[in-house]
Amino acid sequence: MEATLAILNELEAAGLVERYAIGGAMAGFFYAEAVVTEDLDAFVLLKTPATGVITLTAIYDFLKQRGATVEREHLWLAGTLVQLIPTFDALTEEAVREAVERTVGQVKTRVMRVEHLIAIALKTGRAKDHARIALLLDEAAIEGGRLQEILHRHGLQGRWEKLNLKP
Amino acid sequence: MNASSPATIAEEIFQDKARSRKAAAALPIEEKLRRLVEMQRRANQIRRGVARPPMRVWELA
Repeated sequence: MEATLAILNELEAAGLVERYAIGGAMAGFFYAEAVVTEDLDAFVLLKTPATGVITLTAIYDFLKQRGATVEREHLWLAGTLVQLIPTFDALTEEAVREAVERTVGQVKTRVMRVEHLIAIALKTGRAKDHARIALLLDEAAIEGGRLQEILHRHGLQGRWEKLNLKP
Repeated sequence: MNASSPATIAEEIFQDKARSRKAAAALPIEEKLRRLVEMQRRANQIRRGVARPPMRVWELA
């Protein structure tokens, strides 16, 4: 996965994305035990052009030049199945902006904070997202104050209380 | 061997499982990635058995 992350770092250095961060199940690996997953979710903060129309074409072209192949909605990139996900709301944008640096082997990368992972999973709301929340609450070191602030800021406190889980 | 109630035995098993999961959570990311690849391979064995398409197995350098 190091080669994959190195290419994502190149993508950011080339200015094709403003910033990226690992989210989803793979991000959970940095806080809890490994669970089976098929892809690496790379959330990308895109630079909005003057036209206001965002396209992933330039990003895909950049990655294809580095050997990526398109497989359905994924990219097979240096031995890892990657899903590029543009930040799509204030919560995912904040999660990418506040992501923390981590190292895999010799390569630096950026991973969403665990409190953002919980909030995104809560907002997405599928059964597997609730399972991920339970796993993270059980195994990760959660900053309760930070989590509550995020939930409040993004209007998720009602869902949180309904879920009735505690860190 | 001391006799224990089923509830006591079950409780000890659950505690062992919890300790094991905590230990798994504390592993280095590189070891977790190796475990992921192993899980992907095993998942594909099951998927083949139930005629589901296989998932891509990652290639770790």
